[in-house]
Amino acid sequence: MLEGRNLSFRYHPKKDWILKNISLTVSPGQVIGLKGMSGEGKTTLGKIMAGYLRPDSGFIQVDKYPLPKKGVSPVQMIFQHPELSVNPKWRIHKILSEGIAGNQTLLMDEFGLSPSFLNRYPHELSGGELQRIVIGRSLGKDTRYLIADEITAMLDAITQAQIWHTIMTSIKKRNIGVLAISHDENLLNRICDDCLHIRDLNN
Amino acid sequence: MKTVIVTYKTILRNKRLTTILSIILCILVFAGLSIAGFTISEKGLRTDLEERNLSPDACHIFGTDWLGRDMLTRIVKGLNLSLKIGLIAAGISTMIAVMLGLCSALFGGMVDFVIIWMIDLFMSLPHLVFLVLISFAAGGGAKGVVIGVAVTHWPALARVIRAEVLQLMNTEYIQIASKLGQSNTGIMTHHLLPHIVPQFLVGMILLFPHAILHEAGLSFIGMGLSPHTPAIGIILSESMRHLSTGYWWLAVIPGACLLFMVKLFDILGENIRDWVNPKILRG
Repeated sequence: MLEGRNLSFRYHPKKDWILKNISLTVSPGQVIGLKGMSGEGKTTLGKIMAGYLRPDSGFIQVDKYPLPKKGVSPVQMIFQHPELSVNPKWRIHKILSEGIAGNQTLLMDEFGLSPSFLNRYPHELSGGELQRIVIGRSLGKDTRYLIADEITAMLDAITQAQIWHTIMTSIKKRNIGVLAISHDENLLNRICDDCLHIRDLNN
Repeated sequence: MKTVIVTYKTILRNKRLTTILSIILCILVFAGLSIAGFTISEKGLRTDLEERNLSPDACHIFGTDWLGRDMLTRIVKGLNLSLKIGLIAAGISTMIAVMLGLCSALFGGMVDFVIIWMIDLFMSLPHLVFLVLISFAAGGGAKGVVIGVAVTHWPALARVIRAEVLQLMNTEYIQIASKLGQSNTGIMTHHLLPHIVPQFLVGMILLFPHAILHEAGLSFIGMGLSPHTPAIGIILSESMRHLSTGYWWLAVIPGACLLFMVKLFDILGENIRDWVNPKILRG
């Protein structure tokens, strides 16, 4: 169980609280949606849950243990822009090998990508293809939870559907819990077991 | 199967190929120059008063000077000396730049403050005056020139490397890498180095022309090498006295050769920069 307890956060001690006393849990295999307006702190909450930011108060636990400071994190975050999430000087196979140890061709098959892409550079793939690579990289054997922050916001409807379709089958197979952040209500209603609004969480 | 017709035009259109070709061509010219410098006989440096002030002909293709020394020999030797001094000075300068740039970005705080202050200090002083001062303080001669050029040319590159590292450390993919279990040294060698090495290489090659020109400049105003060494700066400053008497080849040919070599380094640097950036070549 990925658990955030009484999380509060602000970017500067003199500024207002962005997150105040938020608690939420994600169970293995469960997809939780998180929606809200721009600037309400969706991404900030995601970054805190994935360990990219430290909350000013409260804590994160994975199965009753705090997130590791070093080494592989069981919580992986996927960002909105795949081209910023990969080293532009690396070929795809090297990018994938950073996250997964096993057979890359199998993974490419699972995500509906041609194995010939493995030898390409990131700028030689489209945004949708690259986002699938980034998702594939985050599905290493130690990954228990995914934080998906607007991961299909820049893609067209068909690609969005395809990507979420592959994600759903992949996470069901691996029993991974997902926190899906989006402001697209239709999308969240389609994929989520439970949908939360950040305004309702904020106390 | 599609047949590919290789023509002059298709080669020129292939950016990767032209880049590699120009790099090879530049390196070949420099290799040829240094081999020529080693193998050319010292005979041409001897004074021969019967053959003085000859204009370029079949025997002395670059002519002779007012002491009857063969200008081709002097220019080849001079360019070689410039090459050597430039290499050492640019090498040291680049090392300083990379070290200070990395320290500045990775340690931050007080270290960063001090290094930035030093960069500003060095950049705010007039370059040539500073160069003369340092090479004079370091004892003049070849050693003075090398030290002078090495310790005055690092600030611009140090600033570039500092900015590059700072920007890299904030990228998403490096933050993701640590969440995927990469250690700090892993991030350093696999993510940072591939971005720094091209800066290092290109920075060094683009420093080279500066180093050579400043060496020639220092020798020209008499602060650098001793008058009997065959150096481009000295050849040029000697030729000043003979320009008005119509011995044009004493100034024009060495000047053109120096310009040619400096331009070649410029081309080499720019092509290597394109070569190491996959986006430019394959986009």
